[in-house]
Amino acid sequence: MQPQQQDLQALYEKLRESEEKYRRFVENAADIIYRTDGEGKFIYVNPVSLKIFGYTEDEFMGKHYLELFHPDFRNKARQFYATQFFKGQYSSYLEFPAVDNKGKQFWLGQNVQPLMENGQIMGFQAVARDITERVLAEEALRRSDEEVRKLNAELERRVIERTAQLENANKELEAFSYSVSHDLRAPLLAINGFTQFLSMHLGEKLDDEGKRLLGIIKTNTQTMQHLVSALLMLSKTNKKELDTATIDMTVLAQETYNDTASPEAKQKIQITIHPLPQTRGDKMLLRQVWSNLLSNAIKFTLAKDERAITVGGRTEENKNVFFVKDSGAGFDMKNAGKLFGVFSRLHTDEEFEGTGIGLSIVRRAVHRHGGDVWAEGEVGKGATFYFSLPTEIH
Amino acid sequence: MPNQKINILLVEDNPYHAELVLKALTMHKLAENFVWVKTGEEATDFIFCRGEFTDRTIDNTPKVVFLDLKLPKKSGLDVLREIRSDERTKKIPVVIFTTSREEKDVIEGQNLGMNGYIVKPDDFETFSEAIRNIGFYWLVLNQLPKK
Repeated sequence: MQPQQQDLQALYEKLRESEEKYRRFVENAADIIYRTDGEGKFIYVNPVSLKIFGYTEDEFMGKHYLELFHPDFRNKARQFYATQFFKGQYSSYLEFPAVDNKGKQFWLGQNVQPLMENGQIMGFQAVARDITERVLAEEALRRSDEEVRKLNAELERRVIERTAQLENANKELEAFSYSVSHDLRAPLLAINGFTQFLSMHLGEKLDDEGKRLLGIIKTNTQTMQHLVSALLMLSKTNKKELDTATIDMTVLAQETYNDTASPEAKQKIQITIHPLPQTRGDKMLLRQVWSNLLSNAIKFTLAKDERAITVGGRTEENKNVFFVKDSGAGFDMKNAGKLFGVFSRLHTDEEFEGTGIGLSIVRRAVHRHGGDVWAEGEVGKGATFYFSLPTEIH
Repeated sequence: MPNQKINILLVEDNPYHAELVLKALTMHKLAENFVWVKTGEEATDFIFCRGEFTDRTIDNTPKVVFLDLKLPKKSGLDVLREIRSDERTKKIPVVIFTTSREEKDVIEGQNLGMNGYIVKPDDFETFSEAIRNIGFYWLVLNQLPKK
């Protein structure tokens, strides 16, 4: 053999090796790789393409690339590629819904490059990857985002509706409790007066048993009177317009204690009122708050041997917190939630008398200032009632 | 009834309250020449000598009227309005004695020229005390021109 022929042989060998490498690469790639002619008809498809689309090689060779696309997408695809190559793009990327030979839909992300020769487009080369999983995940995310958005909107709507309903109900309750409370006072006055007349009428004829019976009527009437007054107070606490002023809370607490405590209480109870921060608020309502909290403290402390009440307060970030601490009967913390409800009582009448409205009034009055109420306690070890008032009242 | 002198005219639809008022006045010796009417219509009939009170004369005015506001049909404020609208009767002292304290009622009462607004207390002692004070003021203390 001539030396030239040997060189040529070597070259052919190298070329064949190179081709072999390339062929193996393309045929073993996990992606779809294909080539079309200038008009878009398939001239080569790799084995993965056959597997994914389900067509045989022969079936592929007659087809146009758009046949891989879902019918609804074909126009868009055509426009896309026309624009891309009109602009002279070297490469383009498109995500689209594809269909296999059975019509099953899946998603592909495809890179396409024009194959040029002498400045002319000879054909196209494409590499495509199955992105179905990613697309479905995105869609699912979008759907759940949409659902969340709808739920939020629905929730907001319901909150607005409920708030309006609540305000209406409150107003009705207001009018009701106000008028009922007043209407209840009329028969109370009559019972009161006529019990007294009966007593006067019977005079000497009223024996001990008679006195006891009348006494019971009087006691119960008084209970009702307290209840009605408390209900009216609760109603007023809600209705009254806030008359905001700067209040010396130390003086107010002290004054209220002096008014509230009986001589017996003053004598037996050790009260300490620490200097309290000044606050902005409605004096009448705040007086009610102190009055109710202090009379509660007094009531529960008198029954114990250790009798101490402490009143204090501190300024926090944008509010003032006050407390009344007593050494009285206390309560079980698991009942803490019930403390401030209307008519809610944690002790029976025999243990401690009361209407159960006092704390409810405290809560209303404090809430109207934009503040909060809460309590801590331990059975037999006393209780501390806290209330906070924001430094800025509207 | 004949044209008797009249001290207190009570306008009250609740008979139990009326009895309480009378008893309280009696206890404090202020019950002489006391008249009780049950409705607003009867009250104006009495003042203006109409209906069953044609035997009366208009110049025989009560020394004070105790007026409840919650009356059936003609309201207490309407009665007050009528009393104040006539030259012959507009000077009659009228004290409102009622169960409720509606701000609008107090304002209207003031506008119509009432002489007082008392909310009926719910215990008898306080009630009796109020009756005594008001009764004593208008029947004994207060001076009127000698006709």
